[in-house]
Amino acid sequence: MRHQFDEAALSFDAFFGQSKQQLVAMAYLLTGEMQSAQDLAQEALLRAWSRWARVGSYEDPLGWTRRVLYNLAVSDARREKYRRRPVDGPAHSPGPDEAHLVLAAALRALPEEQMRALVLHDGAGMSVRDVAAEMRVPEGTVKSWLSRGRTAAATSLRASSAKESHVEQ
Amino acid sequence: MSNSELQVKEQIREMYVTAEQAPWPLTAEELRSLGRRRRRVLPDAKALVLIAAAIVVIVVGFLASRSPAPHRPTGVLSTTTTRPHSSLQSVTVPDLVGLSQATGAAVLAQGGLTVGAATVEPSLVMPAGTIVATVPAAGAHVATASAVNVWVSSGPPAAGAPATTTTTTTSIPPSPLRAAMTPRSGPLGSTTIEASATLTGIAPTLSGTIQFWIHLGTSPLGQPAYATSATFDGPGTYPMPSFVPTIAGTYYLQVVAADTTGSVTYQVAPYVDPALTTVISG
Repeated sequence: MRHQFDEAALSFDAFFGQSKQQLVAMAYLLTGEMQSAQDLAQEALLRAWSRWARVGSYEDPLGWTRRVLYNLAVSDARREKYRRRPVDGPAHSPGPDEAHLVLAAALRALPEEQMRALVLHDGAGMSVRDVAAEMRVPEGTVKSWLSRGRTAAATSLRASSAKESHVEQ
Repeated sequence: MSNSELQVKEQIREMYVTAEQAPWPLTAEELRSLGRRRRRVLPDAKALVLIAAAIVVIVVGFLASRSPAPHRPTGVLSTTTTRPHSSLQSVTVPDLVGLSQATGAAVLAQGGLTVGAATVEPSLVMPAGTIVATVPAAGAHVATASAVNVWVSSGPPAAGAPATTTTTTTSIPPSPLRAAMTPRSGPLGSTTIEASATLTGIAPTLSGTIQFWIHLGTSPLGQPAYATSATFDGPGTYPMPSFVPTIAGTYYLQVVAADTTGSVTYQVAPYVDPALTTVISG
């Protein structure tokens, strides 16, 4: 009994060490805030640990944990848990953190498959082939999601900066 | 890739790398302890309720043991009906569960009873050295100076020992006592736990008491959540008065049958048979 528990803990610890920075970085892409990114990644890892007997035996436990992370990020955002309103005022120019918040909001607004493709390929640097394997679609589909996702994100970034310069005038 | 697409791609990568390289001091050990703490929040509150209930049971049992005949029922462990002892003065068996063996013996002596056979066996929930169960059960009316058999915990079962019925049935002869419990699972509030004990192959003249305990597995102190008893008279199936759990968790059934003299006992131990558990979800 004790022995089995220790083995589970050991294999989880290895998984934790390999995946935590990656998970928190993905969460950051979807929140734009470090604190909520860590909260999200922690929650996803906790869920993996609480089901580790099963999840640990999966071919790709990280893929499972990433999906939990997306779902948490999207449902948290729906509850407006961490979406900050940009600060108003003429003296305000968006700093780097503000730019991250805006980009995160743009990514969350995308259809889920485009968001996931962008997070995995543009963010985590996974190859199109690996993304296609994880998402179980042909590579061509991933490429088209990436292209459409980037275009849509660029449009919403332009819209948000136009809004801001309009406020500043 | 258009210029604006390329820009988005680079921004995403820059943002990702920023976070990937930012130190996050959380360790796996801390994470696992967070999980433990979260899981324990509710059971801890429940444990307080159980401890309070256990204290009431012990105090009432103790008072009952001190009160001379005519006995009065404890009111805690109900539905006990042993056969009337016609000639001798009768006393009520006190509740000894949770007491040390020595204290239990003292309480019995005070109530005019004696300690019968003491059986030591592992218990996941009762600390080593404490009384897990008695036969006859608390609340039963027995003749003065009767022996009360006690089961004493030796602590948790040895690590690695598989908790299956196979191991118990290979080491002891097949028991004439079988138990059943339904349902396997259910939601809190609308689930009634039914159980029964079946005795087969015993002498038709053998009669005595069947004791039912339902232990709540998640309780750290492991006081039985419910205890009751019924009489048996020869082979047959004897139902347990149904039990409505008020706390979510895993419940384990334990059944002990003993004849009126206490010289013949059979037991279905808890934690050995998955069919004798009910998971109540909150």
